[in-house]
Amino acid sequence: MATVKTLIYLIVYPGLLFLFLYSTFVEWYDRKLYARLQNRMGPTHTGRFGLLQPIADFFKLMAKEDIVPDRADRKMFSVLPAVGLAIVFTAMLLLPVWNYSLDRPSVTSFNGDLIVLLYLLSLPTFIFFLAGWSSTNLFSTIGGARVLTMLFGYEVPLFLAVLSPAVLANSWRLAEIAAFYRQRPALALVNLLGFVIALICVQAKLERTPFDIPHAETEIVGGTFTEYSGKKLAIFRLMMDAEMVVAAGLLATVFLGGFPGGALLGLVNFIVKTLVVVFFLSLIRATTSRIRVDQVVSFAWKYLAPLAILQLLIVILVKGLIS
Amino acid sequence: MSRKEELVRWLEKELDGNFISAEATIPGRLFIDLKREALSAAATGLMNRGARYQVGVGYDARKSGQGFGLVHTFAFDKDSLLVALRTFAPEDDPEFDSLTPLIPGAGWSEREYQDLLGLRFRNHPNPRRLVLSDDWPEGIYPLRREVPHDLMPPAAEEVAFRLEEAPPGTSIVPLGPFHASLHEPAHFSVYVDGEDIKGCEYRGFMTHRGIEKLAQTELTYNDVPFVAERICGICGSVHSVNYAQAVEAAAGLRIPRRAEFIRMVALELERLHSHLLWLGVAGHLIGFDTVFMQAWRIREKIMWLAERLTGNRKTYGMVIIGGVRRDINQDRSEDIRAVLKEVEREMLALEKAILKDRTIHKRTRGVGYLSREEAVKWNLIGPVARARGVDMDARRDHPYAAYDEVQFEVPLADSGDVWGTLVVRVKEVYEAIKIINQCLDKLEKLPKNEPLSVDLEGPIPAGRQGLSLVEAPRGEAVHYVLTGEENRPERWRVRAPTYPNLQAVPSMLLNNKLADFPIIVGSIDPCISCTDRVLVVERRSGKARLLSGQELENLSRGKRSKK
Repeated sequence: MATVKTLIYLIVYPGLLFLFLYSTFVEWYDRKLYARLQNRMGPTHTGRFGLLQPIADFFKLMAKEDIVPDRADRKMFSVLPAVGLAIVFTAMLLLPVWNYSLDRPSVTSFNGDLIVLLYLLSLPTFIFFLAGWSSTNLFSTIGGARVLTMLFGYEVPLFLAVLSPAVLANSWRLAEIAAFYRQRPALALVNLLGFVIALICVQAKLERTPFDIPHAETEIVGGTFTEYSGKKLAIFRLMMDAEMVVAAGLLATVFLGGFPGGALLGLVNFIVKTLVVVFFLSLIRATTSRIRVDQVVSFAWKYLAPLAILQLLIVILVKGLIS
Repeated sequence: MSRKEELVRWLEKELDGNFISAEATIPGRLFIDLKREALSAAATGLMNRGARYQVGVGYDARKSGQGFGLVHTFAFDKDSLLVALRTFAPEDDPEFDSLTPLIPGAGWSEREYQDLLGLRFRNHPNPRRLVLSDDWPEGIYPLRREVPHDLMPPAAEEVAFRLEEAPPGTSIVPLGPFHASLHEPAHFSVYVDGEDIKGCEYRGFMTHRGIEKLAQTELTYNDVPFVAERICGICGSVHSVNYAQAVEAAAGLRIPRRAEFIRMVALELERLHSHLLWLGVAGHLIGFDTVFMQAWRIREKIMWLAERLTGNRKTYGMVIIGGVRRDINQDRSEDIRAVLKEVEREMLALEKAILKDRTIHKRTRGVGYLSREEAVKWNLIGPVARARGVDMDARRDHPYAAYDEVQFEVPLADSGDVWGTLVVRVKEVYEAIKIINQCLDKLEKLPKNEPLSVDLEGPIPAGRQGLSLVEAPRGEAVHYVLTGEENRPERWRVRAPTYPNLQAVPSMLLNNKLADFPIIVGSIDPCISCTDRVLVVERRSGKARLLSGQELENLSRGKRSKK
């Protein structure tokens, strides 16, 4: 029974199948919202309200010609999308979606899973860098360099911002952090500043406007993905969608109280809360212009990092008060 | 003593025996003939008196035994005066003094005639090919009379696309001819050190359509306006009105008042949709697609309006020599007012959103900076110059049509960067709306049954010169017409506003970040199709053949199945 459950967990929910479908749904949601904010229609054609458009796009790309540049590092170039996708899907398993209950912890819920999740979310960034680098295309190389430059900016504030709620909850375990804030909802407000910082950093991690610098179309064409096509590009795109889901899930877990209520209610919770996070991400995307990579780093260290430290101080003070 | 008389008197005295004649038939124009030895001295004198260089026009005058003609035109903006200096060189020694060491903005004009007419310029600092492709065979000069307009010579062998070496310590990022931020073909090879731009080489003129040559060989006076409209993808009327004005000036024709106002409405509508287009493109270039979508949504109303007025969204086909072809009656006039009101309201909302946006400030302030002095040195024009505090506008300084009868401001900015060009363009939208409303007021008061155009009273005598300016959305466009025989111009030269502005782009790019490249190039609102207008033929390997849709499909399928 336990084996079946684990298999279902891995393959159906919240594993492969669910994450695939939900990622495409979130892409649709993001596209539709972004389009409506610009007085456009967004996807309308495939499926009801264009709901199937991202899936259609995915399969269309899968069927396209797949070219590996002659001068690229062939092995590396081909293996990166798969590795990236695997990393992101693994990260999804750490979210306390089903194993929310502290009484019956599953193998993927353990003390320190927060750190592992953050680490798994850092890896895709390196995948992007390596993808750009191994393409040997000039635009890709510049894009790859920009990926790493940006990482230096947002990674530290993101870690600080996400760790603050954990410090307050006195746990490094996602399920415990979520449970802590469910019991004391008022304390979640203490982390408001951290939530805003984390939102901005996640936007940067997902390379969306104003941080879509590594693949700024008008400057370096496709950036890191210039040479990618066909299946590999499709997998990269799916990976980015899934990364958005996981990142939104992480923020919802640590800042918004997780996803209680068992399989069904937990699912509803998960969907509503991640969509709220994605809504903010889309809003940022629609109302900003792309800034330069040097501006990202200075912005991150001038504002985000000090504010994240301030948040940590607040948390420590509050912790002293309530204990 | 007027500026004109003073200039003529000074030139006569200074140039002594080298001065041939001065002709000032029309107010605001002065056509001077010189011997070629005096060209440099005369140009220096004009520049010292505050002239602004406009363009060089070379032409083949061998039929009349004068060899090759070269005209340089200068503008005195404060005195509403345009001066054209014309010199000739014999066929066996077509060499002139280069003005480029004195006026950097003359560089392209001279290189152009080096390519097209085989003229030579003494002391030109950079006498490389400009217009012709590198594999164009030596010794064929397309603008010469004996070269047919549809000549397709075989390519010179073993000639590659030549680019300069990158300076030490930098690497080259090639941007173009096909690049996501360029909407027309142009090649910038940008020298970067990390992300910093250390220099740039521009290669353009990749879409030659031979429009000027066509006008001299195939078309008649009245055909040209419709071809002129197709020079540019945005501002068609600018070129057709400009050409018509130049011919009318040469022929001494006065067009009906009603036609003048209708031309102004068409021109200002173009400015409106062009500036909104730019705003959208600028938003896209800095990755702010919401601005792009909103600006183009507003612009679409004007495109619909244009279609209602003229039958077309673009290429209005309104202008002929002697007037216009379509009236704007009371109904249409009300349509226009309604649309303008809506556009103004929406524009105010958009302006508020844009001018206060922090990310836009971050991306445009201090970017692409060029000082006022540099702007004057490079003869920048239009919003690009006005953003650098250069107070110039052909509509006010050299009024054409009936621009002297309407009130409008010339918005200026002094920041000298991309931000300045944005502010200037946004403000110009309101001025254009103001001008159109005034034109409609005037149109409503004019008698309704007046003819919209006047006919010529006979053939236009050959050998007359006409020079005309129109303030296009991108800056002043210059048209020079030399009348000829067989009912067509002997020479028609189009100088689009991008021509001078593009020459200064390498200076604007210097020491900026690579990420700012698109918006800096975008800030001059480059119109490559206008700039590339000249030349003869597109280069094809063999004969062109039309493919049916089915054939195309088979071809593309064939390629796939081969793999």
